Amino acid sequence: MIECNDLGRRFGTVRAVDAVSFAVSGDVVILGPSGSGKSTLLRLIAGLEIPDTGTIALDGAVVSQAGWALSPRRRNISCMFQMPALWPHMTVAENVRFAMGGIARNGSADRLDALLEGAAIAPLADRYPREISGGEARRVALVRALAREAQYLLLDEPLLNLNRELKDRMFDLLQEEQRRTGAVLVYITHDLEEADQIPATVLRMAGGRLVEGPE
Amino acid sequence: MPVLAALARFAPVAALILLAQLRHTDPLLTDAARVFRRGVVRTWVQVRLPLLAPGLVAAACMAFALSAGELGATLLVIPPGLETVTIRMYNYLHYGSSGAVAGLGLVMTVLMLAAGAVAVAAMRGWSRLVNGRPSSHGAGGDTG
Repeated sequence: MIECNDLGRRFGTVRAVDAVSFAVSGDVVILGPSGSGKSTLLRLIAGLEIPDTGTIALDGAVVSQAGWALSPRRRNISCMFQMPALWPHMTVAENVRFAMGGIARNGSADRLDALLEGAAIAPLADRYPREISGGEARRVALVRALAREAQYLLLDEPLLNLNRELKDRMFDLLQEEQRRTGAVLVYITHDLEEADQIPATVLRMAGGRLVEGPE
Repeated sequence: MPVLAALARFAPVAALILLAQLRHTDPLLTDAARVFRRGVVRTWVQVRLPLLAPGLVAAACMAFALSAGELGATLLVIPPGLETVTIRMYNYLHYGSSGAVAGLGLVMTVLMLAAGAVAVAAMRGWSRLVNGRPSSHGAGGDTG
């Protein structure tokens, strides 16, 4: 369960997230136009930003409050950012393998292969991020997030700019992995069609505020 | 002592180079390291240090080049019986041994050019590694 109470984060004079409160158990889709504060909200939930006001609780435990945030590592989260953010000195396989962390070492190679195959990026395993396209990098970033097998899967526009066929394929992979791991999905998008595909609570943001969703 | 003196004089320069490298590094890469962290040591060795490596190499090269040519502080702190190349050059100059000064000067010039070249190569290598293809870190896609 994700609970946000009076959450606020400002950058200078801009209120990126302003008095956002909600409590959601299960998957959640956060919808809104560019600059509405979706990504900042995700970063707050991930523990990558410290709130100026309010609290965030995951499964009842407060993980962020004004001026303090539990480190992302200790939140049992995985995250895909709006930009791929692949480590440039590691190959595709190494990027994903690093995220797999302590997952059962036996069979981790099989799991890596399955994930890369599922995202149709197996042939890119030994390439460096500079040697792949932007869309391929996005798929690697999504696979890296899935590989973590965390309790909360935070995805920021994961299917942005992918063609229909790839979108469907990645969506299938996401659902399959989610079924397998039971991860709670926090999915950010500005695409209504994409949002409709996900059976989840929908929150709408605009101007840093929650304009629709459970209070 | 001469090492400490050089450290005191040139550590700020090295720190500035490292700071520039830090500011040049995409913050999302370090955010990703925070999310996918696998123990402090492993994360530092596998992610953070490689991201800082070019800055570390450049800072080390610059500190070396500046320290090798340093005279003032070294003269003040060097113990009796020890000398650096720069102090030897200074002494040769004092006694009018211009041939030896020229030779050592050439050696110093080559050393400093080499240090500078290594620093530039490290920064250019990193730039190539990150920006080999601009699309690899953009929001581009497979829109077919």
